[in-house]
Amino acid sequence: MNAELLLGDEAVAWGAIDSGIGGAFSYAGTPATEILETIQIVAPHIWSKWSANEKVAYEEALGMSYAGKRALVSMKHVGLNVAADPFMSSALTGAVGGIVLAVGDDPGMHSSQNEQDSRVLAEFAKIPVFEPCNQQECYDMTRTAFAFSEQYGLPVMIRLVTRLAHSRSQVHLRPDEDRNRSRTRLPLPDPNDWALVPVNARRRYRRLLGLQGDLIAESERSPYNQLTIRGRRGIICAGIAWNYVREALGPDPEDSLLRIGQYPLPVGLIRQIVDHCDEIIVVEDGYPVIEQHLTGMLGVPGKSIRGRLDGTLPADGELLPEIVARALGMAVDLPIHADAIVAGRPPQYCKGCPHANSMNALIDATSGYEQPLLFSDIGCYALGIMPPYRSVHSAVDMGASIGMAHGASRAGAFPVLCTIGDSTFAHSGMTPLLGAVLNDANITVLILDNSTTAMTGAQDSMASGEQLMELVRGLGVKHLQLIEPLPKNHEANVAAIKEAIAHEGLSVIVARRPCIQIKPRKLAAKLPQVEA
Amino acid sequence: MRHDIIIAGVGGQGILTIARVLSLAAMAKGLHVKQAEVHGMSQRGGAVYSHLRISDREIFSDLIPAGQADMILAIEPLEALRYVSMLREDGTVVASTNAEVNIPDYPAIERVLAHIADFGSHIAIDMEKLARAAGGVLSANIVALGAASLYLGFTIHELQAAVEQLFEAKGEKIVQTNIRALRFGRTAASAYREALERGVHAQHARGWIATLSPEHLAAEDLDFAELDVAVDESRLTGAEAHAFESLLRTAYDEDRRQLYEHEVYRLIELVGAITPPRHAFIAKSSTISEEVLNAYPGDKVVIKLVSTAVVHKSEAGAVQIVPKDLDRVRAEIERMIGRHAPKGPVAGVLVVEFVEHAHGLGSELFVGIRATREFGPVIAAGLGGVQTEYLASKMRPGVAVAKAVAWDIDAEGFLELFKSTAAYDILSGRVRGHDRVVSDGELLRCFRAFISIARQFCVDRGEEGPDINELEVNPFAFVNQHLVPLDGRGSLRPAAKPRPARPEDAAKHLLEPERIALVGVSAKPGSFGRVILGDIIESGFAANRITIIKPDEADFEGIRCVPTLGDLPDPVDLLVITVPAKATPEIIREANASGKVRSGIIISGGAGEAEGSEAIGEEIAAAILEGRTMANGGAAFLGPNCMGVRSRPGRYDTFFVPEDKLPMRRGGEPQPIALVSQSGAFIVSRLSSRTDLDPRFAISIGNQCDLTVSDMVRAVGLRDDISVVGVYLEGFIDLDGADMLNVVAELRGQGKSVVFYKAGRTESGRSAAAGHTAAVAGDYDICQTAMSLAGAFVAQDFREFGEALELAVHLTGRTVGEGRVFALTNAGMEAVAMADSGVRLDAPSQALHCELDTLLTTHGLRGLVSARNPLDLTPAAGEAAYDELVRAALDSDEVDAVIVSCVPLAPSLHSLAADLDHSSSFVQLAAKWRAHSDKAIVTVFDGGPEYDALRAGIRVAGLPVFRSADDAARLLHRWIEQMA
Repeated sequence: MNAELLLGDEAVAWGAIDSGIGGAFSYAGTPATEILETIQIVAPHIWSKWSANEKVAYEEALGMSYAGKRALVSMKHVGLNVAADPFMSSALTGAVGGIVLAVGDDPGMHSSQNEQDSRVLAEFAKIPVFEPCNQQECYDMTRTAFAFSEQYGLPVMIRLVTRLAHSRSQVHLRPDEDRNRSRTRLPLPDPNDWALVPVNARRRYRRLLGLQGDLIAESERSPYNQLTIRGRRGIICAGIAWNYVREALGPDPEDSLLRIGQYPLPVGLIRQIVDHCDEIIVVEDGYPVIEQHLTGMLGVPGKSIRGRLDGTLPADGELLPEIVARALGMAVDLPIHADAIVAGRPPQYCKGCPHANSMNALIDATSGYEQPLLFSDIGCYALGIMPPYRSVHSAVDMGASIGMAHGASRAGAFPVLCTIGDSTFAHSGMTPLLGAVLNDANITVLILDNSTTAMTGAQDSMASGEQLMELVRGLGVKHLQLIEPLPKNHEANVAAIKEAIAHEGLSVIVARRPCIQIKPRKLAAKLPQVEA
Repeated sequence: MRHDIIIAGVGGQGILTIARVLSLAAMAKGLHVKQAEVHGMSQRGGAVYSHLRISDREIFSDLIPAGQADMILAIEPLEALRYVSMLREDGTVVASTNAEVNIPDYPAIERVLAHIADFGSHIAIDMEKLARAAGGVLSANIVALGAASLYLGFTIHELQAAVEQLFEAKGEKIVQTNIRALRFGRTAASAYREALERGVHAQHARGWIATLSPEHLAAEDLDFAELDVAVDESRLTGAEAHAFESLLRTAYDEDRRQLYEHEVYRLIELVGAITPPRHAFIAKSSTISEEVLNAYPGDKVVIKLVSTAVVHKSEAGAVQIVPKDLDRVRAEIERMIGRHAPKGPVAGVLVVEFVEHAHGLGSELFVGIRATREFGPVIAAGLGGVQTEYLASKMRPGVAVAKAVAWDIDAEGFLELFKSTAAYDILSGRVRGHDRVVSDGELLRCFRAFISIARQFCVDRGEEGPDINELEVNPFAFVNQHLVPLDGRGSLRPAAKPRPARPEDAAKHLLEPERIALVGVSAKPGSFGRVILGDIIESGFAANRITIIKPDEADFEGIRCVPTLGDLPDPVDLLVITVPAKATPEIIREANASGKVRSGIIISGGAGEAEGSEAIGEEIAAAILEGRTMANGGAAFLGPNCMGVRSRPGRYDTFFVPEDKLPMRRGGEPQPIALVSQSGAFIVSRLSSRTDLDPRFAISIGNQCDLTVSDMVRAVGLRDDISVVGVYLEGFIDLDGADMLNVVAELRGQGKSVVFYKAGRTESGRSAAAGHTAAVAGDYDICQTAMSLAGAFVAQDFREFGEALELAVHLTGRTVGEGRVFALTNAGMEAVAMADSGVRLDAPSQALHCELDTLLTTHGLRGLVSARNPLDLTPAAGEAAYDELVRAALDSDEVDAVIVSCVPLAPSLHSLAADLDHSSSFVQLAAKWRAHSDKAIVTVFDGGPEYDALRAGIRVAGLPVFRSADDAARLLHRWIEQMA
């Protein structure tokens, strides 16, 4: 038994490595971060540097595909919003070298600002999706997805959810000759197929539409879409929901079961189970994608279709085994009550965190104003929203803080400040800052340079230290100060922020002190290294 | 086989490592494994968990279905309880007792542990301590795994192999530490389980586990014969201490030395001392939410400023009672922060439940602890509220506030002490118009918590963590017989560190040396060294046992000289150093290097006591400390700035006072008194003014750079030829006060007396910013109280000091019983004065009355004198009447002590020098009375110099003599009060 104990994320990475990718591209984001990290650690010969943001990562992967090599691009679900533009167009350009997009959805919002379902975006782009239910499938499906991508000349999505991405189990790896694909390049495509001027785009879109029938046919015969007809109650489940259903029903289920692991949806299989059953329960983690398709607007006459839409399952949040069991009518016995003395323990700044000092300085510098507005961004510093700081007032999307601050200042608000980390600034803070420079927005931007992407576990940052200062100056910022967020500098830092607020027009303060958590990643240190 | 385990902890505790080890072990056995982890945001100090599923069949869900977990394995106790609803009915809880207190509402830790102990199948052990014993605190997670392994169907060897596999890359040392941790965890858990099976209470079982040594833990089989669990209730449990520490660390790591009110509440709540009113901290940049506000009972709340700058909140306008209305509360929060923010650092406000309680004197209690420099941890309790300091300053000591050194008292003892305060009289309803507002049990619980905290945290904790300087609640209010804190404050500051012990016998050698060496003797007449040499020789010390350290000379006025200390032919017991201060460190080093010096007296002044000389003082201290690292501990030194030592048994004297100014007493038996004084002048003036006291030893201790006052008191006090030690002190060196208390108690136990005078009532430490505890239990106050509690007689002034010494000598071997005094006088004014002194003068019983009446008749005093106490004999009484009446009193079993007072001017008395040999003179009677009875007999002869001879004669006869009756009665009264 030659098995490795792998996270879902790690299994995807190994699947990509064993598929012979030429490169992996990503921007860190929970729960997808460990995919690229695994490749960085176990296969250092494969190009796997962090990209500036998800859009860039996707484009880099697309370029590699064009040039004839397989490419993996991974991100969290909201990252795909950033990459939506190239993502949508790539369905039209298609792929030469296989291109697989691994997306980590976050039902339950463990570490995210929403729980959008990437299957919706895949359908939007009309590309196939593989949705694994366990770690072995994470590996297997990734292998299959690369072949599929090249077979159909389309990008293919692997949809993970947090629970699977961050859960380990045994995975049997099958390293074979596929690995050697990284040594050669496939022939280049016809440039007309990739130059999406209207005349080409119309043609390519018709091609995409034309492929849909074949893709559905693939889904009908996919080993990942399995139908078992038994009783008159049918259960359709997608991805990880399969596990909870199996867990609840035990070894000898009486219900008819359809398990979905490959999209577009296998219409024929679905019709079979619906025809056979009177009642269908749809169990899927994320949005009710399948359920919505089934019920449409008006439902299926004579059939009871149940799931998240009718309240059989909660409309939001992560599925849990007991929730699914209850929905299937099983008794869930909780013999021990929750203990009332337990107090909540929310995440908080690490002891000695530079952000805590920045927040304190920010609080003291703005306490004299009636209603200071403080926009924040995505990163550890967003913990400033929580007690005891409660010092910032928004965290919306990557890079939002500067643009929002500018907008608020145009509404007449004063003072308006925003905080953005060095990595988020590189991700999508530079363009709004450029706009603020050109329009001399009366805002104060604090760039919290801890020289890493801390929230996701200290990945390299694209813009920190002197390079960050150069960047900011290069964008045309004149009023720029550097402070060091330390308790001993508190008074000076407060004064610096106050002075920046008083400055009429745009001011930028860089608060620079490295994250105390920076240390080499040892995530997969026990895994065998892949030789070049 | 199937194990569904929830592994829980706080971000950073290494729960995933536990999961990894178990997974590896399971895979090695060919089992299926699923392990769900939490990554990302919640890792940062928040609650983290992992679901681990191991089975011999296929596992579907990555998550364990609720209600089906077999075990919760938690490296933090509260985190164990967080997931109990995941557990099946007979599931097991394995938890560490180490609380991570990084949240504002952490419950009382022992309550948390009690909830865990409610699980039939559970283990709760101090994993951090076990990990430390195994080699590193980071291995607490592997300790947890070892503990859990009892239930998991893996052999220790299977787990050990997995540990080796996982940690291999980190090197052999880490592997071994973790293997030990695994074993220690397993042994401790099985010991714990065994203890519970034997019916031991969970808390006691934990206490017992904590006593197991690494050897015990490494053993395959524990010897349960030793399972004799003695739990010290006066100490915090290990879990409480850990939780407390965790919270202190949080404030400390924020670079803050002041604790906020809510942190004080959390601390005392953690140890289960009290339940504070509902409160919420609102940081200054935010405000209260409607949900939080609605949770408060009643229709108003109290808003209080949270700032390190404001000490007395109500005076600073930093307390406001506001109707429980969201808008008004929010507006008041903003107003209060806005008003105070410009004046100093403001962290936010505390919104506190409005507690309905009584107001006015006696309706509030104050309890505080602090780390004192001299005595270590101290506790104080008394009337609370804003009047605390005022009452403490205006009322007699011990009436407004009870205070004690926490090392020397337990909660029961402190409650007894507290019962003698006015506070207790009022609180317990003994005062008219007051009902009892609090039970003794509640007070006891509170005192026990504060004393335990003081003992463990108001002391130098070195690397272990921050020390508490002060922690107090003022006031506690009373609601339904319970204590409810209404304000609290605390601060952190390094506590005084104990110094290395002085070599044990050094002080003994110093008191009675066989050989003496001197350094610093010059030929210049009148120089210190030369005067001292003369004094030593004249005191009778054999010249051939004296050596002078003097280069280039073989002989100085007949005394042998050697060039250096190394050249001494024999080791000396005492080295007298009179070189200038700046040369002293070198001499000390030389003495230590020679190995030939046991003790030394540093006469040299100018070392530390004056401004600018601190550096030399420090250098001297450093030189002495260097000696402590030597095998023999080096020499011990008295001084610097020691004015001298007079040792009658040692036949030497180094007080450099010319003979004609202070004649030496060389003949006759000295008194069994030793004087130990920080002031040399105090000694020489006592020697001069009270020649009758003639102490066996007089020791000026100087700056106590090395030998301390307690060292010297112990050394002289334990001698058989000393029964009374008089101490004059300006200040103890760090923690020497605590040692002194032990010495006093020890001497007291031997029937000896210590008379103590402490100078320095006004303390610089009492700044306006100091807390209540420092104000009511400052160093001076605590010194007076603690010395008195330990059994010393604390004198109020110099005169009383001398009188008390005299009384103490007389009382050696005598008792004062219940303190029932019978007083006789021949002057009405004295009778009145003695009655006014407060001394207990019970009226004679019928029997004694009759007896006295008979004697009065015999001596023709019937009709003139009535048989009362005090007995006013009138000037008509002669010595014979006195004699018989005194004997009658001494023989009466209703009298413990007798004051014999006599105005010696009455014509019939043999009171002049020439008459003292007369058989009926008081001098003759005194000797007889003394021999007749072992009760205390105090005499008073109030008259001029003509009667000096009478008084001296009575002293020689062995009775104490006073110049005035009120002094005698007052002193006797105070003595009885303090010493009985």
